[in-house]
Parts: sequence; C-alpha cells; structure tokens
Amino acid sequence: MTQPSSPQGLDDYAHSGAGLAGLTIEDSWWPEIVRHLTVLIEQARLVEHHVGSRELVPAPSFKP
Amino acid sequence: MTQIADATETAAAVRAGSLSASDAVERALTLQFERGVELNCFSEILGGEARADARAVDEAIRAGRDPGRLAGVPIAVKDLFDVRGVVTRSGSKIDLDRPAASQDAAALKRLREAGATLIGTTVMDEYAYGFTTENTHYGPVRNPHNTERIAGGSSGGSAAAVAAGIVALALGSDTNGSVRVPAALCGVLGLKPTYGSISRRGLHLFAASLDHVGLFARSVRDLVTGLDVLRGDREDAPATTGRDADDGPIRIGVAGGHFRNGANPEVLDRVDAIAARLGATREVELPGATEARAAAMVITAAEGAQLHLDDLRARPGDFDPMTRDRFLAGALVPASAYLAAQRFRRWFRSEAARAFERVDVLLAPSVPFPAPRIGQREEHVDGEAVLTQPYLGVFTQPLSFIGLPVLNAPAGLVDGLPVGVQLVARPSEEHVLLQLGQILEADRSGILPLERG
Repeated sequence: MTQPSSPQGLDDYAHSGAGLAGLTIEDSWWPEIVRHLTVLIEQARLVEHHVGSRELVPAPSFKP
Repeated sequence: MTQIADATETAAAVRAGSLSASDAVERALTLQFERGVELNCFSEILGGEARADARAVDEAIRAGRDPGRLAGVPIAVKDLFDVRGVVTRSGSKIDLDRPAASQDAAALKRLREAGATLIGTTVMDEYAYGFTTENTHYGPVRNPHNTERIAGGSSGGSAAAVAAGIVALALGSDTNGSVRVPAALCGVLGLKPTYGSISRRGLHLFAASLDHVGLFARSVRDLVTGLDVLRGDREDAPATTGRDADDGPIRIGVAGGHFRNGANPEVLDRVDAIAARLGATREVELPGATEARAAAMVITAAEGAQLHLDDLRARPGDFDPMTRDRFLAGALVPASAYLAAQRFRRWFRSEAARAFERVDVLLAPSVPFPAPRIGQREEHVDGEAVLTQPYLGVFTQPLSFIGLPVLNAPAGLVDGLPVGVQLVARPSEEHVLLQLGQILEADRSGILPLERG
C-alpha cells in the first residue's frame, strides 16, 4: 500500500493551525492526524490539477 | 418454510383485519430477541412506543378510519434521526449527554403518520464517518448472512435489521455510500434518492452538502411505497410512474473506467450479469470519477470537522480515535483545498450530464468485494493491499458527490456473500430505477427473499 509522504512543512503548518483553531492535540495523536492530512492534501492536489483555478462553468442541466 | 412478509403484505393484512398491528409489533420484537441481539442491530429498542403506535393503528381500524399506507409495518431508524423523547446518539458517547429530541425527524414523522410502528433506533458508525459499522462504543453490527462479517456502514444496523426480517423498512443516511454499501453487503435494496428530495429536518448532519436520507427494504414495491410516503406523493401516482411509453426503451450503460478497476473480478461478473439481463449494450465512462472520489473525501473531512468543532475542542478524548483523528485532520484542511474540491464538483456534474445524454441509467458495482471479517483492516485487490474501511466507498463516493439518485439492487453472491449493483439515473428520475428494480426482482436476478422455518 503506497502512502504519500508528508509535504515539507506540513508538521509545522498542522501544529500552528491546530493552535489557531483552539484544538488541543495529544502528542500520540499527531502521527495519524498528519497521515490523514497528507492524504487529504494529496487528494486536493489531484483535483486542482484537473480543474485549476479557472472560473466555474455554468450549472449543467440533465436533459432526458 | 414461511416467507417473512414485506411491508406491503403486512400493511394489506393489517388493513384487511387479518393481522393486528399489535401482533405485527410483537412478531418484530420476538425476532429482535431471536436474531437482533446477536446481530447488534439496535442501539435502543422502543417497545413501549412501538406498542403505542400499534394500538393507535388498531384503534383507527376499529373506528373505521384510514390507518395509513404503512399500517402496522415495523420500521427502524438509524440513530442519527431524531425520535421524540429519545436522545439521538449518532453512534457516539458524546451525544448521550444531549437532551432528548422534542419531535420526530421529518422523515420518521411521515412514516409514522402513514401507520408505521417504530421498533427502535439502529447502530451506526460514530457520526456516520465509516463504511463498516464497527462502533467502538456500541460494538459491531454483524452481517445476517455470516455473523463473522461486517454489515457495512455507516447505516449497518438499519441494513441488518431489514436483511434479518426484524423490520420491513428502515431509514438510513447516505453521504458517500452509507446506505448503498450496507445494502449491498447485507443483500437488500437500498435507495439513495436525489440530493435534497427528502427533508433532512431532524437528521443530525455529517457533511451538509453531501448528506441524503435513504431507505432500506426487501422488495421494490416497499421502496415505492416508502418513497411515496417520504415525498408526500399521491397514492394514485406512485413512485414508479413518470415515464410514458412514448419515452421509448430505457437506455442502459455500464459505467467504465474507474468503475471497472479495483474490484474483485467476480463482483464485476455479477454487474455484467445484471447488465446482460437488462440489455445494457454499451460502456460509458464518467471522466474524472477517481478525482470525484478524492474531492468527496476532502469535502467530507472539512464539513464534518466544522460540525463537530466545539466537541473537538472541548472533549476530543471522548471520540472514537479513528473518527477523532480524521475530524482533526479535516479541521486543518486549507480553504483552498476545500474550494478546489467544490469547483471540481461543478465540472464533474457537467461531465455526468453529458454522459446522461447517451444513456438513461448507468450500472456500477456498489462494493469492490463482499463483506470483510469484523476487525479486518486490509483487503487485497488486483494484488495490492488496500485499507478495507475507506476502500469500501470507492464506487459509491463519485455518485453521491453529485447527488444523483442511486438504487442498490442485490446482485447475487460472491464467495457465498451478497454483493450489489448500483443503478444510477438523472436527478429526480427515481421512477426509472424502480422500474428496472422491478424487472430484476421479477426473475430473481439477485438475492432470494428471506425465509424462516
């Protein structure tokens, strides 16, 4: 099973973000949280690559 | 062998006076004692309420009043729907501390007003964040077909209660597959209607832009009646109507690409057998389905975390650790990631609309493999190890992501365990799915009805 490696700086980002959000996270929880966050960021990159930042297309209608 | 009655047969017998609603409730409670305890379907049995509901139905019949289309039908609801006077646990320990609900959820209210009797609330994954219903606080729900296997999730208790014949209908919720996955693994029908078509008032949300109310049943006619009642449809225009003979034959395609990869080959064989039975002659790809699943996961994590932020701050240790860690990660997702996922959603919906110009219904597997063992963390697919829990949603997530109506129909057995096929239609075309469901049911292309000695 291949897991993406954490992007550089993710640990610092996650710790700062948790502090700003008022979250208290025990040391033992961090590895799993960072693993999940790494996967989510990788998923977001996959999606961004597909649509970029271009404007939204008009809402589609499903025609029978 | 006596076949267990479905909702339609039960309601007909109660309305005709050959069965009392009170007897139907006692039968359900007996079955719960015989099977439900072992399966761990229910988080709370509401025997008093069920008997009161039944007495009201029996009294209505004695008084010559219409007892409702679901007169005396035993039902269950996922413990995510408000039930008047009961604490909605949402599969958690934290929500046990909340006050009891002051009124029934809208969907439950409609079913009870139609004469259904509520047997109890069902076990689920904590806060609906899972596909297996292996709940740390309340235990796993066991699959009625093999009690060493999972029932699927997050609406596992509802699916198992219907599959075991304890209740005829059950409510669930579906965000990424939480009706379709357990329906497939338990061998029952599971309907996820069009997003927004059934009121979510009184449903405790998980991811607001993805949550749907869904329904489990053992027969298509029960789904038709259940959907009619939930939507407030007229009895003379049931949920299978809406398609004229002039509309021509239903054009059916098999979803390709993402939906043909990463599944047990026998599961795909079952989908192909259903396709052959329905005369599906073409493969149609939904471009970007893999990315759609990724986007659905980002949105789920971010939206779910926001709903639980207060508790994540105040009492993180009271969550199931798996739920907690995923929510905490979701709370840290950058806004740019969430917005990209929502932008992609608009694009993917356009691609799906384009695909549905060529077909009226698409077929896809509901699950990549039959029910894993309880506690099994990994499964092997195409020679690679995958994490069982998240991978169960591989084929359901891209479709709920854009709110299309989907019916899970039983598709036979793989290794002696049920699997399902997703029938997918355009928004608001549930009637097309139900018509195809009737065809499959008529020649028993899926699981045989439940029987007991």
